[in-house]
Amino acid sequence: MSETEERRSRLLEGVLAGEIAPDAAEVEALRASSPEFGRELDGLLRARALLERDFEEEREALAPGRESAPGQELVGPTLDRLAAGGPADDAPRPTRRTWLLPLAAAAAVLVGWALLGGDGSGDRDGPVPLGSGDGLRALRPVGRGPSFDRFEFEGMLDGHHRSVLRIWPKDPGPLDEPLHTETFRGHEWAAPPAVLSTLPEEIEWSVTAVSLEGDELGTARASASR
Amino acid sequence: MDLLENAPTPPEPEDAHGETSGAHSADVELVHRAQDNDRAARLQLRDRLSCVPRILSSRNARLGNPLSREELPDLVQDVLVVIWRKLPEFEGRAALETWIYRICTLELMNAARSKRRRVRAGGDGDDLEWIPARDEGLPVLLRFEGLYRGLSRLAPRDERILRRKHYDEKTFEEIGAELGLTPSGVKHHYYRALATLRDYLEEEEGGS
Repeated sequence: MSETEERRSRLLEGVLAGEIAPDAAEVEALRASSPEFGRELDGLLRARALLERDFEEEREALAPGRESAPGQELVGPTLDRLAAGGPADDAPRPTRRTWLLPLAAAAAVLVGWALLGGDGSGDRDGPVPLGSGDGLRALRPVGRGPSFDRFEFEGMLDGHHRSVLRIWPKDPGPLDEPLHTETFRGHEWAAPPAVLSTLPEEIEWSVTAVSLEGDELGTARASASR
Repeated sequence: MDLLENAPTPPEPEDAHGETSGAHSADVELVHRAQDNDRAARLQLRDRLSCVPRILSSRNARLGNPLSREELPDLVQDVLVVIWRKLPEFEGRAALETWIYRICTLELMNAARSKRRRVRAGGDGDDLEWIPARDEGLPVLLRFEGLYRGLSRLAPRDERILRRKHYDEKTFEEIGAELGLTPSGVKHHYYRALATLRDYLEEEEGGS
């Protein structure tokens, strides 16, 4: 390996390992003299950032304490049915729950594994109340308007909730990280100038009402331009 | 009460270099036993799969709730069916929950796309314009899929090093001690793994 290649590898490994700052003088010097090095470093840092973000989201999703997620009560019956050899292409739907429970029970008796012994495991907690926040509606900003200075929504909520506002640029939209996330109480939030100045001309936004227990009560979303 | 149901997952056996294709062999064994109608294993597996609704709910919220709360139970069942079908393919390269998490994420994305198509076909999709379709330059979706595909193609030890570093937040020294490598050896593998992953991501984006 030549001296240049060795230096290049040492810097790449050092930056990725967090031992050398990405903007260290030696890195910047090599970046200036070798655009290829710059591209490689940027690509690697981006891959690392994606990995960090993805694993962070995975940790969040697998964190305990959210046992009342929608559909939790269906895990046992559905698996019973699949284990009993039920047709996989015709899994019971929640909209057909009238026959889901007898079918699941029959399957459980036939196979004799899941429900025997009164094990009391946590996936038969029963249906989760939907809360009073379903049917939230975005009021402003919606469509074209002069400003995004105030975000407002309506919905039947009891007041003991928090509202989580997320704002994205219209392109690429909400599958990317929000530009801004704000948690507030009530139905409206006034965007301070510091936030307003960071928003593009076209945005997508959503607001999710969350109960004190952490259950999501409903979501409203809209797009707007100024 | 069935004690087996709540038994902790046994620690995974490892060789000196973490080179086994199934580093989570205890999970693989659990899956095999469950498929062989071992009752205790099935109960355990059911407990492990109970994370599916939690994952879907969390991912859905993270994406701004493309699916409503009423739609999530349907997806829970669909995903359980997919997982059930794919169980024979589980090789233990990652923990069972990680494998499940990846399936959940991809199925959620597919469900969001289907919803968009469905609503558009019905002519009333204005409020769903924000759910991007596959052909609309989906940077985030491509990243997810590229990342998963890339991780699955890495050498098992390299994948494990990335996970230990970024999921478990271990130091290079700790990872080295676990895998029987020097810290500089771990760093070298780490760099190589990231470079491979980057290549896959660029390949995915270039091919989109």
